[in-house]
Amino acid sequence: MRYRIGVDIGGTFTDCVVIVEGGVIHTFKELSTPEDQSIGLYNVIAKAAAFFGQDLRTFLGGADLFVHGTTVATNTLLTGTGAKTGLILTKGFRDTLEMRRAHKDNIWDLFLHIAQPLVPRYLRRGVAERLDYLGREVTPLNEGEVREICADFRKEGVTAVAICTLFSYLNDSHEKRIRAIVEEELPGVFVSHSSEVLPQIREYERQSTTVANAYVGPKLTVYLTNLEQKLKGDGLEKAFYVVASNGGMMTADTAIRHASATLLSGPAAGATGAIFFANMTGARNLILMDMGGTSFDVTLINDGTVTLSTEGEIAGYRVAKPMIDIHTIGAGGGSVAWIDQWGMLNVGPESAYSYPGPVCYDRGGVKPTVTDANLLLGYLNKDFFLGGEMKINEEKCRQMMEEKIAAPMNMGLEKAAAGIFQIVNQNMADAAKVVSVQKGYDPREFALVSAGGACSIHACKIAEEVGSDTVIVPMAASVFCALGMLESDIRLDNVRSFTGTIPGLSLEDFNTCIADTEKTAMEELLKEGVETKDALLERYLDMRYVGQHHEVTVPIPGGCVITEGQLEEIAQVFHAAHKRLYSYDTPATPLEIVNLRVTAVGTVPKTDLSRQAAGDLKVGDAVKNTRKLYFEEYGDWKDVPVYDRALLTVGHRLQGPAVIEERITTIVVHPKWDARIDEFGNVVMEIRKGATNE
Amino acid sequence: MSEKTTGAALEKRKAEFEGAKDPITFAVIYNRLLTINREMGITMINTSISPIFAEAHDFSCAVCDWDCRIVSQVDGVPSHTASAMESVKAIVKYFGDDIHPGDVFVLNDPYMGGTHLQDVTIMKPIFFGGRLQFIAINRAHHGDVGGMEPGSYCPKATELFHEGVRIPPLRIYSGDEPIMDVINMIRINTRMPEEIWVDMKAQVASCNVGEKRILEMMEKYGEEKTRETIEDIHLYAENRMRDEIGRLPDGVYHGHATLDGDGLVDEPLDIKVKITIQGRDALVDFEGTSPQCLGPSNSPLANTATCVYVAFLTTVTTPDIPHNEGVYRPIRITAPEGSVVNPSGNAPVAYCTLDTACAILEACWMALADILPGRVPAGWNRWNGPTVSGVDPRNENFYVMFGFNGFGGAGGAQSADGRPYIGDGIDLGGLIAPNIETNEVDYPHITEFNEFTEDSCGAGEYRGGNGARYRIKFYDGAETNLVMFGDGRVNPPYGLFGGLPGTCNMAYINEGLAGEELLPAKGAVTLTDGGTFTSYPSGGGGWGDPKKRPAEKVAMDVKNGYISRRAAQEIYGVALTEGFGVDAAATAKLRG
Repeated sequence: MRYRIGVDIGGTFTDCVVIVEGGVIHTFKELSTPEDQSIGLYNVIAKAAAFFGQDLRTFLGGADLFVHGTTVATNTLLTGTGAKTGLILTKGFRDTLEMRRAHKDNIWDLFLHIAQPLVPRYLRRGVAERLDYLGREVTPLNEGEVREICADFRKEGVTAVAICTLFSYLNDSHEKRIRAIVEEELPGVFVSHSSEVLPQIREYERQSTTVANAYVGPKLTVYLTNLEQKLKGDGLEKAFYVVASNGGMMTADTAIRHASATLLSGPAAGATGAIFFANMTGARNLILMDMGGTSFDVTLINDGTVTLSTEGEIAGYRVAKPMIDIHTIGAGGGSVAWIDQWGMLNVGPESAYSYPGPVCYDRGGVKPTVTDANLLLGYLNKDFFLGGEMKINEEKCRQMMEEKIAAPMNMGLEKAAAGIFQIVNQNMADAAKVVSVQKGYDPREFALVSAGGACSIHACKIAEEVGSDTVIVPMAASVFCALGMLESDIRLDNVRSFTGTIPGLSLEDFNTCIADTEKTAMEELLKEGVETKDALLERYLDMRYVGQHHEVTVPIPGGCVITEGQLEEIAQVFHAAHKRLYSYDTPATPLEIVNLRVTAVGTVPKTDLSRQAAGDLKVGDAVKNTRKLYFEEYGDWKDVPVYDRALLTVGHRLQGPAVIEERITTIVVHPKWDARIDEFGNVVMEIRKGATNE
Repeated sequence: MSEKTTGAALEKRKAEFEGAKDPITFAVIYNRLLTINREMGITMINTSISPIFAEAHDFSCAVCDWDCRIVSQVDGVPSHTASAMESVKAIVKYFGDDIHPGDVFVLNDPYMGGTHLQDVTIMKPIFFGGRLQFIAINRAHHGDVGGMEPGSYCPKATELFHEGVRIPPLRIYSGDEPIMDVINMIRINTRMPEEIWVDMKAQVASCNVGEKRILEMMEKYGEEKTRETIEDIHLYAENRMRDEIGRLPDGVYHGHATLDGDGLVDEPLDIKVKITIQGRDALVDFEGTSPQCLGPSNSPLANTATCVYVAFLTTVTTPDIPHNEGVYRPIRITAPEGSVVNPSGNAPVAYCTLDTACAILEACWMALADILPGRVPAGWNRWNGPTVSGVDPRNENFYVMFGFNGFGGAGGAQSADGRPYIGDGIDLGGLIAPNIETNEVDYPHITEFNEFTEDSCGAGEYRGGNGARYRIKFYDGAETNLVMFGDGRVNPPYGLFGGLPGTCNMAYINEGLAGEELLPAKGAVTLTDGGTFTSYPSGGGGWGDPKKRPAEKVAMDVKNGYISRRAAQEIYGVALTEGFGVDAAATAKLRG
């Protein structure tokens, strides 16, 4: 038996997926162990090994691949428990990190809390040195000052050092020399320099990323090094990979050097799940929605490719590493509904979390939540909550909804619950529009993929709101992330600042820059254990119209020397991308290149999933019972059939309104929608022909 | 007995509001409008070319209803709040029934609903069912609209005509097609005719997005329900503001702020404000304010009103209150005609959205401080940056660079130190500073430093944020034109409740070199051969007695270099040991 193992650490559960050659999937779950994530990891692989009747050593030894999605770096940043970090920078610019480019998220809030800089001012130290805008030395490096700073850092007990000087992306000689001195003076300290982490113009973003890298680096190093050693000691022979923010994998060694590239490892795995799903079903345009207890994440997959953004903010810190473009809002099953003192009904962003949780959990929660509304509307089954594992207090739920929402608004209980349902749907639809409409994609050309336990109750209504006519609820929705990880490639991002205009570009300089970057990229990739036949290089340019301040990243032809003719094609690609994003282009305006990006990809063979055969049962045989659901369309309750998902098989079709239930996921097929089961066991909901989607 | 003390009137109004027929649709439409404003803003950021929009976000997007009332607004900077409403009124008054689908209007005249001439407001009427329902608005500060100096801040201007092109209510699109002859009339009056046109098109694109989304919304909810809900949204906001005002003790509260001067006449300008709280109403009166001035410090009434609203929105209410016409109803503003806060004739106004706006905001905050001590901050920095222009010796192109580096600090407030390096008060942190690297690539200079100035922050239990000293050196042989249009050279950000003021703004050319010169707060100077510009923007004022600041915090401030050892000892009464520890005995003695 040949197989691959993927383990993803989530907030509550640690998921393990084993894909056996031939495409059969096995999934396992254990509780996460936040204090040491490797404990949960070991628990879940032990469970998997037992399932296959093997001891751990045999199980690990037989794996072709072991992929791990970890939140160690993210949690370190979120909880402020990283290394005591020192920062060495160009003299005269000590406060770049704390200035944050004077950006303020909400100008109206005079008391807005902002994340404190990861390096306090006394550990941010300037050294005499300077390069100009072309990377030419203006002031030589004062090495004596670097040594003095190191002596102070030693006294302060600094365990990580970040180095970021002006224009180092053009000329890394000063930074490299500083690094050499630091390594000499402070042996054993974790060091990151900006021209390695992110050789890209814009010192605030570069510095912030380099500092985040140094800050989380030591913890991630300890975690990954120990884990890899332990797994190898316990029999793992093949490669051990970590999921990065860009949705690709990298070896533990690379992840340690580029610690900041793993900050979105967890959610990125979800997006890889969606890509896997796109490949499986052939649906190339997807909007992935993941609704949990407290948050709602959306990601857009266009033509089978996830959209990446070149930077973002994590826990209030700017990180300019390519990351999967995920939009998150505070809307989930635990989102609290409340009426402000002037009478407006709001849902979220406050959450009841899992404790005390929604009122109906009966753990002391008194604030009605989205889950409570779903229960009162009949969408959730009070007798089959978490497959019947959880007892629900419907009476208390009803009482609190009446007291907190319905009575003050002077409306019936159903109306109030339906109002909460409608408002949260609108918030989620607006989030889906941020990644689609606002980026120039028409949601009518996309199917919504509904993941997470509660999402499929809302999915049809969100689809109606954004104008999409298909919703897919994938099989194995609850281990979506771990599944996707196993099907991702090794992806290493490289960026180099390159300044040039079209027309006016020196092709020679440009091709030299590409060749240099590709050489480095390929070397790095081969170090990951990738064989040359599986290696490929993707090229991108960050470009804009001369005068603009925001770039658009466009792919350019690979594997060749760029010619004048290709430059013309690149310009056309840029104009088209600009038009899609911003509704216009101006082909007469010259273009400016800002960065060259080379992504080295080590392809991993994909699994061909086994298809299900049609069963003997008729669709009507899957009906468990009927139950009353409230629909705003009818303004009334309606008896609808409840189907057992386990009994639904390929080719089954049913009409909404209906409910499809399984242990964790409840699907509400709303009025005007039909559902069918596809050959992989996914539930596909489509708006009924003739029913208008408005 | 006043209305509020009985509580009955309050209940009555609540009851009125809660009569809203469909609270769910109300919440849905309210949120949808904000989403629409945000989408309009994203379109603007991504398609405009001037750094002032793309980087500094000096624009705002709003939607007005059929009665010229702002329904919702999302601002880049606060100085646009509410004032666009006056522009819409001017359009409707002038064009009356001659407003059609596919029209786009423009206006910038300060005496016809604008603020200063750089703020160009684009408006697009939205029709549904054959009736004018809404107007999408985009107001944006353009880099140059003509006048005596590049950038249109003109220190020598004594008439509005000196400051650039005046645009009365004007139709620039008909049937969604631009009327180029009219548009070219505007463009030819500016130094950057290409840029202004591209950026105006970005404004129009932004309004088009607003129109499209509003129409989708009306399709869904229908005219009647939409209009009914809009009335509720106004009423909701009004009710919230009235409740907040109702909680304040009745009385008359005074505040004042002083501007250094208008840059032409060496005389300070006094802004005096009297805020009367009466039940659930506020009356704001500027009696006693200096007469209008010769130079460009005059603030047209719409701009003055905006500053008053900003003062209320930042302290009296919480940040999530809707910004619409309803919220402004309880606040009545009067100002003597011919004063610096309500000028008449053709007085120049370019500084009104910065210096004068800061001073009006400060005066109102001061008046409110006594009744809202926990909400009102100490004084913020006033503007200290120049506009720099010249010919770039690297490519012979003419350039204009705004001084968006070297920002000052915010004032401290109860429970929070002021933020360092955040910019002037009236912008409330809305302006974003460019990176040193992109700035040096874009403009011909090298930056020598941009970092916090020790002791620039006003001392207090909660101290002000530090300002940042900033120096740039121009290329040898280059000729550079610097226009200063700041203030606060002699009037520092105020301290509150025993807190001390921040430092004063300072700026020099060639500091420490031959030809060193202290620059005026307002004025123009030309450097003929390289040279340097250095600014020392003020830190924010302090809040509360510095001696009450915990000694450990003071010690950390010294270790971090925000304040000096001497300031710790003399102002905060904290003695430090050899290192950065607190000398408890000596401190107790100093603090008495």
